[in-house]
Amino acid sequence: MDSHQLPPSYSIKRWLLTTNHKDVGILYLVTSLYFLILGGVLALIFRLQLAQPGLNILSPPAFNQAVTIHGLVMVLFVVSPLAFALANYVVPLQIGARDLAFPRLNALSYWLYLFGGLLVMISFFQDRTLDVGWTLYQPLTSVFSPYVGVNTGGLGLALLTASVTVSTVNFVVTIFRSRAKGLRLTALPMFTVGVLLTVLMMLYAFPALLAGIILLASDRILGTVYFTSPQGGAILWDHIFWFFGHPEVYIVLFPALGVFGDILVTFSRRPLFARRIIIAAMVVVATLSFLVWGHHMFLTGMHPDVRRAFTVTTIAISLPFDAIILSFIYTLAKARIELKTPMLFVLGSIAIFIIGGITGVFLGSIALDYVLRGTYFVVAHFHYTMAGGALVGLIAGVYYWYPKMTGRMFSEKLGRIHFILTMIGFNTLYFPFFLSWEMPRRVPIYVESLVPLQQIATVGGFIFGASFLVMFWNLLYSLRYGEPAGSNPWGAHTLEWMTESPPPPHNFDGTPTFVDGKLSFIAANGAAHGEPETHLSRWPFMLSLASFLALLGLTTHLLVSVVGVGLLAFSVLGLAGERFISREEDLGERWPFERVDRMKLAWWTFISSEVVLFGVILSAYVYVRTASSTWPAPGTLLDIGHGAVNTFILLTSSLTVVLALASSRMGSRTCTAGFLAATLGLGILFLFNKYNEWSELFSHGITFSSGLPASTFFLTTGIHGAHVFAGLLALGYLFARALKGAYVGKGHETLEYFGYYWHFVDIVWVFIFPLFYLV
Amino acid sequence: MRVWVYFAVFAALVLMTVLELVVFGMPLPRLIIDMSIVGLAGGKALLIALFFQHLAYEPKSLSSFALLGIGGVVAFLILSVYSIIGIAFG
Amino acid sequence: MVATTVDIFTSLWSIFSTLGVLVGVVVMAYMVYLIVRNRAKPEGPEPEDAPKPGELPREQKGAKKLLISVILSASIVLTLISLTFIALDNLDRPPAGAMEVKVIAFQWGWKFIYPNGYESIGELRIPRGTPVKLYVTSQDVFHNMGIISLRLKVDAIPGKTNIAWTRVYETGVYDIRCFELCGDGHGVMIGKLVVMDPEEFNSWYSSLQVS
Ligand code: HEM
Ligand SMILES: [Cu+2]
Repeated sequence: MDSHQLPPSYSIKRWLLTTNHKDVGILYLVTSLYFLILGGVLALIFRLQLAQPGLNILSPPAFNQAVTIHGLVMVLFVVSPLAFALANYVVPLQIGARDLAFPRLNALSYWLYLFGGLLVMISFFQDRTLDVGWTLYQPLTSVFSPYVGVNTGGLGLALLTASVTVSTVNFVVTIFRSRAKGLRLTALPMFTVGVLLTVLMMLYAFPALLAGIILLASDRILGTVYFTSPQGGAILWDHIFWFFGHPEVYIVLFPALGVFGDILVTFSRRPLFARRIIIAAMVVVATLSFLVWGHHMFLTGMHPDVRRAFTVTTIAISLPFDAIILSFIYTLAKARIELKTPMLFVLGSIAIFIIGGITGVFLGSIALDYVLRGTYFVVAHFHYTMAGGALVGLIAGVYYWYPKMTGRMFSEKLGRIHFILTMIGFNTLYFPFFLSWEMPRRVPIYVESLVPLQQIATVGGFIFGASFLVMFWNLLYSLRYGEPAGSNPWGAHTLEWMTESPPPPHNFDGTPTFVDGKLSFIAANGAAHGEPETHLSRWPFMLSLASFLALLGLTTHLLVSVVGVGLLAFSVLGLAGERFISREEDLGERWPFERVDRMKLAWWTFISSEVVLFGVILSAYVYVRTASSTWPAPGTLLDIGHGAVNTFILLTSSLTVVLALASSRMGSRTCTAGFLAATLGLGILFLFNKYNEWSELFSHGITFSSGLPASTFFLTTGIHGAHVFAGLLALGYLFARALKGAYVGKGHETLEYFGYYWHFVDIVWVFIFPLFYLV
Repeated sequence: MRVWVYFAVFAALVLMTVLELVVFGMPLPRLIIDMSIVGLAGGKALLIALFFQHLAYEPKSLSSFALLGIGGVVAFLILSVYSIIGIAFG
Repeated sequence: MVATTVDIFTSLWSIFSTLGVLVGVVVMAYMVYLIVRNRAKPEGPEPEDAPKPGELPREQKGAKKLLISVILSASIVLTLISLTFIALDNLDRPPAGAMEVKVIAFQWGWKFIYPNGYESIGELRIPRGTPVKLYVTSQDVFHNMGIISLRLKVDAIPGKTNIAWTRVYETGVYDIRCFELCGDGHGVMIGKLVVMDPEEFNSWYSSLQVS
């Protein structure tokens, strides 16, 4: 079969195998809207429960599960994926690329996301799904919710973080390396700017979540005591979770800010006000977002200095937001505003977001937060920002780009009806929450005096829910019966509108460039010469299915896991061995990575996420040591000899890796294979020594659960060992290929990339050794 | 890349590890010992990153990019540990 | 009368909400004004600098206007933050002569230990007018002890003791609720704070049998 040709869109095969960014975007769109319905229905059910304090629609455990899954699904499986639906479809078009840098990885992200969601849904049908709030507080989650479904749900989240990591790498490389010539970073359309900053935040935030989930899973399954002992416990989790959690709320928001920017320009017929200041302010917000997490912990009794620092950063972050929102508003001055549906949604969303932002300042004031924390005021605040600012903002984007995706216009009239219903429903639902600020979150029982407010909110909830039905109907109906849209129905100026609707598989006829400040197309398209690019692969789906089965088996039947792991190995080999052609554009704007090819950039991006993963795990160790009044002296719990020997082994293995690389450069097949074999041997030796060390500890009765010194040691070196093991698997593959002469003369980059990983694992050990054995 | 650089860096790494063990056994105040050992580890990490991962030969943009994550981790470490200084758990 | 936690909160709250509503209303009114004034009229001409298809983005200059606006909001926010720190100082400094009570949260209720060692579950009695200092912890999971009508809230964390204080000038019964999701019984983890006439309290307190 000619893999260049995509099967027609009614064929199931097309959707299972496609790697084209536009198809993947549609898949994301449909899936995230599906999860929106799921999360929304859950919310309506507990809104019914809340219509009266005494109702018994949901039992208390069911209520907690509904609230928890609603939150997790909305934040992680709806809003961000909806943003990525648009990003997938639109970003390559906006920057003039033919596809994302790694089309197969893109499909992989989607399938991992879907299967992660599937795990969460399956957990509903086990004894109990997650019932501990989307913030997974400790030690409630680590021991007090001993249900299998909680594990399954947690594994679903782990799969989602994998999906996010993969797509982060992909978007970072794409936006840095695949821009049309002349499209400098500051000249990117606002949506792409928003997405770029989003993925950069994701890059550093999600590994922290993954680290948290790993520690949590280890507490639940292996019996380590990170969160069950007071020295780690509630506060350690708070730090880890919110170090992820606060950036996450901006991760959710930023794509919507980008949507605001693009739509405002198009429908007010004016350039954006102080555009470069907006971008600078967004960069500031993205950076500061990693320094404010403590405002979720004001009541935990932190050190006063730290508490004060977090207040200052929190209040400070509202200023760049101010600049952004005001610039959006100033754009409207002297404009010629066309109030079409996308614009209406943007204006409505900005208005709502203003309320959310102002109330955020209330919460940033510790003295007020002492009272407002844990109440409906917080619930109102984050719905005004997340549901109103982010979700409604993205809906504007869906309307805006719908003609591009489908080639048809939606019904403007229905769009307006949807808008009006959204505004009425949203505010009727969430404004009473501000007024209910004396009511605790997540309780089905409340005082009589709040009944009217809560009932109004419930009514609003149903209006808000119904408004989406109008949208679904509109989008589905117009798919068939909408007016043909033409390439640029809104008269927009950005690149995605300079091609047909929907665009052809290769996006543009000719290569778009902006060399002389204006768009022109160079006739020879990259796709035209050489072999045609590939657009289909079965491995992303297979790999995700395999991971899904491997994880599902852990909480159902181990046989399922065995099948999963087998399939996983098969798919990884399949993916590695597949001939998949995707060329980088010949011409491109690549600042600041002109001299870093895309694979190298991808690897370093991935390594950055690993830095945060291990950084958080090691910080957790330093943290619990600080919190513990006693700790075994060096040499008492752990044998320094083991650690020292392993240090020398790993250092030597790093040397053999670079020697293998040097040999392959010099063209010696024997030496290349030989040094790879030596590395393999040293890695095995390392693990063997580790195995001996662990067995000695076990034989002395020291196990995962023998207190924090043992827990932290086993967990940290265990995760490190797992990385060594993964490295060894890769080494086996490299060695087998090296024997056949694979990396001689050509392809030695592969060894270089492998080296990044291996040396990184070595560096981690360089820190583990002194921290655990000597200090 | 000349191969002798690899050997030189490797020798330095081994030496610094030995130094860590030597410092560990010296009759100095704990704090100084701990600081020097962690400092040595940092130096080793830097050598590996610069010469084995070849960051010394890459554009600055790539090294800065790699540094961003470390910045985040340092912020996390400092603020989270500082937040519990002087607090008794148990 | 000396300030209570309610006074501290209420004065801060009224400043924040006045300024918050004011800023919100001004900004939104301005936005609506711009929208209404600049609504496209079918015959109206395009603005001169309207973006043309295929152009690189331009921007409207406006650093000065923006700077002024941000300085304005910065001054508002700085005022608010200073007021916050003053309030915080007062909250952090419990008045002298407080009665000290230990609170242990559990799934799903509250245990109170009085200075004389007397323990009770679900109900805390205090005398009117006397400051009360609470040493709050938890024996299982993360809870949060909130007496919202007294504007008082403090995290109850296993292995850690947090301190809060209040002083009430009116007798009465106030709900104590949990403000952090803590499991199945979270919604019914309700206790009572009973503020008694000092004499009544003293006679009750001295009659307690402490084992
Ligand atoms: C001006 C900017 C903002 C400030 C100063 C701010 C401040 C705060 C503070 C202090 C809290 C903690 C409240 C508490 O639990 O006691 C909070 C909670 C929250 N904020 Fe914001 N916020 C801002 C913007 C946003 C935005 C843009 C979003 C999302 C798009 C957001 C989402 C949230 C969420 C989800 C929570 C609650 C998390 C939870 O406890 O479940 N905030 N905000
Ligand atoms: Cu936050």
